[in-house]
Amino acid sequence: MMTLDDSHPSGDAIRPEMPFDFSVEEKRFLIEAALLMRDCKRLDEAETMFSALLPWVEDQHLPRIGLGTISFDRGDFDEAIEHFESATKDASNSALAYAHLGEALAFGGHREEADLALEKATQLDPAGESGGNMAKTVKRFLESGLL
Amino acid sequence: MSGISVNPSGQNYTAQQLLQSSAPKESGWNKFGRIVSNVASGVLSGAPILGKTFGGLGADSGFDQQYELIRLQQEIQRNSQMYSTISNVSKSKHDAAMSAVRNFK
Repeated sequence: MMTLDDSHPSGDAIRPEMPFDFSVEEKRFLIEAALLMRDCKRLDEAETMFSALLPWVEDQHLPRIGLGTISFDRGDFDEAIEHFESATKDASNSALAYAHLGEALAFGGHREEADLALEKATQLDPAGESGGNMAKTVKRFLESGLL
Repeated sequence: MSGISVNPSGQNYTAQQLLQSSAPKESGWNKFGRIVSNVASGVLSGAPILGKTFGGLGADSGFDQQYELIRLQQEIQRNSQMYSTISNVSKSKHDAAMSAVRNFK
């Protein structure tokens, strides 16, 4: 029997047959709830929620970023990089995806690629509210030599 | 004399107290950073006194203590800077995520 978390490990999400659909507001609510779960360090539950959301949304970059941040929180930087790269492919103009990718690359020891990703995020969002500021603060953190 | 009293409580406030009462509230991390910095500067301001007091006990004991206190202050400042930076990163991450959720279609 197919369940909500039947997403394939490769990222090919399988959408289960359901007698209803989610509205945009409900999808937003579920994403925000998953982010809260992650911030409460209930990483397994947050991962289940993000994975279950994948087949239900057309633009999958946000759940993929969520999955990447969970891997990042677990210290699995290689898996986080995979998720964030996948998110940049889903939404090539997402500053948030590039900012997270830059952060994960930096923590994974790929400093040059990290700088490129953070620079790209800053270019995509010069105003800063959608990931540009995050890229700038991560860059400042890296430049301070604290990592 | 009858009239409206501008200071009905009769209490006198110093300029510093007035400034403190009108200052905006700090977030937890900023407050923590400020306390750490104040402790560090307080420790450093006591260093010359300590140096003078203990100066006669040994040839370099005052100098050693001052050196140790300065090193301690640098360490505290570094920690403070780290907390502040991490806090900024966390805030910018949260703001960006919320902005992305709001614009989600």
